[in-house]
Formats: sequence, C-alpha cells, structure tokens
Amino acid sequence: MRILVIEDDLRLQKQIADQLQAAGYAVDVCADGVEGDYMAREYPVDLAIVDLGLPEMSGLEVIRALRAAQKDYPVLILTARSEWQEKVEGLEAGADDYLTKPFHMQELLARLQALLRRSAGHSSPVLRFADLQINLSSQLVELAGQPLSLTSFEYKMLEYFVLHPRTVVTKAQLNEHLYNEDADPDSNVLEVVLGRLRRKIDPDGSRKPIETLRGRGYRFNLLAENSA
Amino acid sequence: MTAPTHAGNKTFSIRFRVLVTVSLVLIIGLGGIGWSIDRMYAQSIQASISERLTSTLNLLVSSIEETDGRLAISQPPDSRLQQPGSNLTAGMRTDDGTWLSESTLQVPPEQWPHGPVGEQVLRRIDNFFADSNPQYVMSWELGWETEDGAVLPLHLWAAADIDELRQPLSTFRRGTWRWLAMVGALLVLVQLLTGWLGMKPMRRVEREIQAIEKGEKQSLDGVYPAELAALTDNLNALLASEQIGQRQYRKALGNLGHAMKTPLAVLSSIVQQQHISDEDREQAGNAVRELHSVIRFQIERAASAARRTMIQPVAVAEQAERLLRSLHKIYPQVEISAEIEPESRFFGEQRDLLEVLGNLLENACKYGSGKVLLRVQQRRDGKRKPGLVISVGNSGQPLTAERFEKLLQRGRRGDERVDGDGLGLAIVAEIAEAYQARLYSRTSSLGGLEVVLEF
Repeated sequence: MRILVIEDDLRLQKQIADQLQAAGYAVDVCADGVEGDYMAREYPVDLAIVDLGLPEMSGLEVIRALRAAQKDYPVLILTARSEWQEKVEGLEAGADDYLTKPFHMQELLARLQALLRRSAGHSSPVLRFADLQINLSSQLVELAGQPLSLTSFEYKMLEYFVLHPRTVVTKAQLNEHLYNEDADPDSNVLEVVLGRLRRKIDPDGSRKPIETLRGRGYRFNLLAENSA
Repeated sequence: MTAPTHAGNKTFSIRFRVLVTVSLVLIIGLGGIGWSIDRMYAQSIQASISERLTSTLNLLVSSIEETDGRLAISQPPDSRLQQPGSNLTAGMRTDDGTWLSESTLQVPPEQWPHGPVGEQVLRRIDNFFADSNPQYVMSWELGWETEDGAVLPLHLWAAADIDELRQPLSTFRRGTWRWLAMVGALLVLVQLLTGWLGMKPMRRVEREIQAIEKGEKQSLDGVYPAELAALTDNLNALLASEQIGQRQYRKALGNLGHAMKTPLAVLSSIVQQQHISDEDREQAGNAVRELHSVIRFQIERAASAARRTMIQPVAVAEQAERLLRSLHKIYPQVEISAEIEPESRFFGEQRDLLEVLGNLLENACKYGSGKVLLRVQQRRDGKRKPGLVISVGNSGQPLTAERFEKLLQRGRRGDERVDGDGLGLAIVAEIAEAYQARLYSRTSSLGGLEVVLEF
C-alpha cells in the first residue's frame, strides 16, 4: 500500500514516514501544498495523509483538487486546530477521517488500516476466505485456525490482493503500491515473494487464490465471506 | 399598546410608562379643574338664590300694611308667590296670626326657622315641606314699630326649592364635563403623537440592531438626534472593535495552537520509539497527552469566551446535517438519527454550536454502543431570543448524575490524564457556561447516557 504524506513540519513528516515504512507501507512525502497537489493526482496513491496548515496551497484545496480529479482513495486529515468547524470543512472537502495533533503513532496506523479496509468495502477488520482468515488490524493471518508466519512484504502483498479482489493487478501496480519510490525492485524478487505467499496460503495448491493471467498480471479470486 | 415588553421580565416599554403617567396627570388635573369649576358655579347660584330671597323678604316687609295696630299683606310683591308650584314661597307670622303665600304648602309652626333678631339667616332645610324637595330658607325675625310707637314681633321667611340650584347646575355640569372630556382626549392624542415622534429614532435604532443581528448590516448608519448620537456612535465603535478583536483573538489562538501542537506531535512520536524504556515512555507519553489536553482545553475556553454581542442566529438543522454527514464518514458503523425542529435557531456563534454538537455527538459515537440520537427543540417562552434544547443520547451504558459530574470536573481541571470524552465534555461545559446554558445528564430513550444542554 502506498501512502502519500503531505506535512510541512519536516521532523513530523520524517517520523510519520519512518513509522509507516516500519509498518510495511510504501511512502511518498512532500512538504508543501503545490507539490502535494501534484503527487496526489499523479502518483499511484492508496491513501493520503494531509496536514491542513500547508504552505503554498492549503490542505483543503489539495483535497478538493484530488477529489475533482476523480481520485477516490481515502484521505486522512492531520490538524493542529481541534475546532469542529475545521474538521467539518475538511470532511466536506472530501476527507474521510481526521486526526488532531499531537497523536499516537499507533492511532495513526489504526486509522489508516480502518480507512483502507473501509474503502475496500469491509466493515470488519477480520476477513474470512473459507479457512483463510486475515486480521487487518493485528496483521495476523490464520489458515485452518493455525497462525501463518508471513514476512512484512508477504503480508503487504496479501493485504493488497485481498483489498483489491477479483481485479487484475499488474506487476507494475504491485511495484508501485508496495515499494518505496527510491527502491529499485527486481521483477524476479516480486515473483519469488508471490511464489512463497502462494505456498503459504494454499499449501496443497488446491484453491489457487492468486491466479496468474499471462501477460496481464495477477488476480485474487476469493471474496471475503463477511464482506460488508 | 404593549404593556409588559417581555413576559416574565417586569419591564414596561417607555411608551407605556409615558402614556400611563400622562393619563394619570390628565385624570387628576382635569378632574380637579372640573371639580373646582363645579363648586364655584354652585356657590354662585347659591349666592344668587340668597340675594333673591333677601330681596323677596325686603319686598315682603315693604308690602306689609298696618291697620289698627295689626299687620297684614294684601298684595304679595312677587307674582310667583301667588302661583302654586313656582318654587318661591314665603310666610309671615305675627302675634295676630300667620300669612302664607298662595304658592306654599302648610308649614307646621315648629318648623318655622329661627335666628338672631334683625338678622337674615339662610339655611337648607330638607323636610321644610312634607313630601317635597329640600328648600333654601331665609328667615328674618324683627320688631315692627307701629304708628303709635309700639313694637310688634314679626317673623318672616322666604324659601326657594333646591331645584332652583339643581337644574342650572346639572345643565352646567353636563356641558363642563363634556368639554373637559374632549380636551382630555385631545391631550392624549397630542401626547401619543409626541411620543411617536419622540420615539422614532429609538425605533430606528431597534430596527438597525435587528438588521445587525440578522447579519444584514455591520453597523448603525442612520443619522440620529444629539441625545442618541453619543450612544449610537459608541455602539458602532464597540461593534467594530469587537469584530476586529474577535477575529484577531481567534486567529492568534489558532496560531498558538498550531505552533504548539506540531512540536508536541514530534515529541509524542519520539517518546514512542523503541530505545526508550517502557516506564519512561509511559511517563513521557502521559506528560505529552496532559500538555495537549491543557492546550486544547484552554484554547477552546479562551475562544468560546470571545463572543460577539450581535450576531445572526444560526440555523441548527443545517449545521447539524453537516456534522452528521461528517460523522457518518468517520463512524459508518454507528446508526445516528436526528429529530431536529426545522426552524430551530441558535443565538450565538456558529463555531460554538459546531463545537457543542461535534463533541457531544462524537462522544456518543465513540462510547454509545452503536446508536445515537440527536434531538433539537426550540423553547418558545415569549423571550425575544427563544431558548434551545439540544440533547444527545446513546445506546451505551447509562451514567449516574454523580459520575457525569465527575467526568465533567475531570475534563475541566485539565490537570490529570483525561480521555477524549472528558475533554470534549469539558469544552461543551465551558461553552455552556459562556452562554449561561444548563448542562445535565439523564438516561436516554436508547438506554444509555443522554447529555442535555438548555440554552
């Protein structure tokens, strides 16, 4: 999942980016509204964190512009002003949630996960696909009641697939949404990780949840049983 | 005419006061004048009756004829004395007998009025004649010196019926009081006109203030008489400084909050890092949270105190809808319903209304177990600015009044670690205090806590 962080305070921006990367997200950062506006519209973003008090162009304008450009990914507002007037204006401009500074990093992560899950149409953090169960909140994956041990990258890949079910996902898309901008992924690495993930979630190869569409990409074929 | 201007507020309008005072002065003044004229007129008629009776007695004496030492009246001096029912009667008594005018009835001898000898005395006698009106009776006792030098006692009286007084007096009274009533009515009209003209500038001030309250105007721009100009000029200056002051104040508070909270966010993030011991992390985390609560609470408190005096009332339904849409985004799993009187108005700052509704609704969404009900009702109790009742209930655990009060105090002190609910509630309490509103809790129809605010 690729998160765009638009925050003008560079210390806070770095802390958020570090924490998000540590949690396995691909992160893009910028410190002013104009650059943020460009990135929000042009980058393959899955979720944006926007500070309202930005230089050059306000956070509200950035949100309005990205919604006007038909970008429908979730947006989380960061605001130092805790007035409802401002929160409501932000939500009316197209944001989906807000967080008042200062905040706990854990709370920011929880809100991100909830927003990503809700935008994929899931009301519960626990998704069940027959005997495969994924808790998007605790990041625990179980198969037939037994916990699966996934690496951070494997989990992020699985999460991306389950949040985009029955959709053709190209290799380029996986690269864009799972790797940081400065990373230079070898396409073989992606295939190796995918192979390992397939073996872990479908050990006997009977269900083939992640289908390969030759020349086009991959498709996650299962639908959550408890999808909202 | 408007009697009391506000129900429940014992203040009378200036017009009402002036009208009552002037009416009282008119009633007392014109009544006194009427009474005095009436008395004077009655006294003048009485004097003329007295004169007439004196003259009748004098004429009677001059018409007495003396024959062989006996006194008699053969020809009465006034023809009315010969006409029964003429209202003028007379009588004479000597040692030899009694003479009564033909116009008179019988008068028992004991009824004959006495007085000092030689003096004419007028008095009112109610039963001078049986079954007749009271009479004004002039009596005169004197000695008659006969030709042979003897002095004979002579007792005379002349009487006029009280109708002689009553009839002209009642005609006069009818005329006088009619004129006085017309003068009174004219004076009331003049007073009303004067009051209307005098109050015209005041009514204009009132209209302009209403326009300012509706947001149609920024200041009083009419030209006012000297007596009001000082007031309206000062009011304009106050409004202008209030608007500028409030804007700058809120901006400064916002900037202060922004400037402090971003470094706090950095600090908050640092203390969560792994290389710090759990104990240190918890202590530092608590300190940062406490600092954040204090900053937020004190800034909200200062901002809610910076209210303008005259502002357009806010349509509650519109603002509530905005909030409900926003909250639905954040808490899609919560079922929020609303019962809002469509015409409800909040007489205050839109910002304060949003703070109240936002904090109450968000608390209910967070702790309310899935169902939230917002109710807004206008209280029409006759005041110029009607009251407003806002209540937010939820389906969570009910709370006793004591626990609610404790939660409120905990948030308001801001001196210990508080949860979001306590802080949000404390901000609501602070706004309630600024507006002199009543804040209390009860059990909601949904089963949980219901917080009620009565403005």
